[in-house]
Amino acid sequence: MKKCFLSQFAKPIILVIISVLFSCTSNDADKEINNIKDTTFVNHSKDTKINDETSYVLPSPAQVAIIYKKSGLKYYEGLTISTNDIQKYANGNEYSSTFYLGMFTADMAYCMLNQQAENSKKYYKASKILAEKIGLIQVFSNKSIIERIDRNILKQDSIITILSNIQSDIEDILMQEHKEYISPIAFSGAWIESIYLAASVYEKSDKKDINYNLMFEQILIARNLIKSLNSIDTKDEFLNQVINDIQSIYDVFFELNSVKELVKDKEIEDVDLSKLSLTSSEIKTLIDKIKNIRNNYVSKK
Amino acid sequence: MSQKNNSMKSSSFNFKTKLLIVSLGFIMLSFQQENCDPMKLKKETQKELSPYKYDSSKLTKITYKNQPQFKEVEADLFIGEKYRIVINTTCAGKPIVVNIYNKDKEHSKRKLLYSSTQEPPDKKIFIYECSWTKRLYINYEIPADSSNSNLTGSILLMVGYK
Repeated sequence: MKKCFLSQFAKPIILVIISVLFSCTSNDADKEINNIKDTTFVNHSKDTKINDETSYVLPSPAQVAIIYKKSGLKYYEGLTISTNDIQKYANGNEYSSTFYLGMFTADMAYCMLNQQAENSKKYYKASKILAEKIGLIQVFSNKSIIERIDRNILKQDSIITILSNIQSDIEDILMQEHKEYISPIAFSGAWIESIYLAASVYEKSDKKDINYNLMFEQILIARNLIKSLNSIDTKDEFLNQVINDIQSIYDVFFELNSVKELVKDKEIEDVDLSKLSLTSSEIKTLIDKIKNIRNNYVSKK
Repeated sequence: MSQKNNSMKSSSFNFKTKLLIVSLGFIMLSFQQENCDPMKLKKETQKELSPYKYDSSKLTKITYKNQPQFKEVEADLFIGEKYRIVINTTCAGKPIVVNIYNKDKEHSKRKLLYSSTQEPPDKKIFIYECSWTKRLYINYEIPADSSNSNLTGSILLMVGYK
């Protein structure tokens, strides 16, 4: 009798419960995927297939710093932003705090890759204050990172791994919080700060032996960086200023005579950048532009 | 009477079978969705990146339509650096063709560098390694879905460097 009851009533009920439970899980997962903000933009082309879209993958600030270091970028005291003024950079909105977080993480990477343990920790702590403003505090609350910086500061490969892990952690949180749209904003801060560091080191070094082609490559990335920033649905004044400033560095580069001779119609795909040799006055024009823009962000608050 | 009982038993059996099939369907769907959590998808993809260091990733969402679609991802790279690109289509919902080009779709001289059509049909994670390029253009050819089931999916692209 008991067996009969089970087979007639309990089993279907259990199945219904399982179905309902699992169908709820699938809805939640679906909702999670659908909630993720997509920063793609529609690019109308001649292709016959519908819903034609283009999106962009930008290099991480950590990778930019690592590549500069590999090319011989030396450390000079006083080039990075003072961490004493960190609070003033955290006073703005989500966009400006994200931008400054990008700048500070670029400085942190510059210090870490140049074996500056104390300064690295200062920038890590400063980044935490900015990260808190935009809901990323978990990434910079990991005490083991500070210990790992101390323990591995002389081991380049371990430092690169730490930087790579921080980048991955940032993206994890952005994914969880559905804030992937701020990723290009952080990269724009890192883009300006790292190109400023490269320009300043070039200016300070006597031998001028830094591979400044990397600066050109970084400028070329601005094209897709600007497209990514433009795809963010906002009229924020600060963000518009960032876009205009990055565009102006990009334009100054392509207006240099040596660049015009080598690159036609900004078509860079087939251009061998190693053949690009700027005159000293062209380099000065470019460096002055970069320094002017970066210093405005550091001093205007 | 006995015929009626048999008929009732048969009807009950059919109902239970249907319920079981529906339940199994839900279980399988939820299992797939569970694995398609973006974080899990990222972790799974990251395993394929080693020994390259993690650089960045891009999740592309798909909503199937009754016509084929085409999406392009542009990846900026540094010349001379070694890169591994991992494209995970496990959660795409349907088989996707992945093509990698050296130039964008408007360019007449663009060259196909990689195509997933060269891979075994059951393969869902595609790997491409390169250096000496400034930019890669990764195309997703998404098939049509005429089942009107509002099918969705996602593709994760991950970039690693050495």
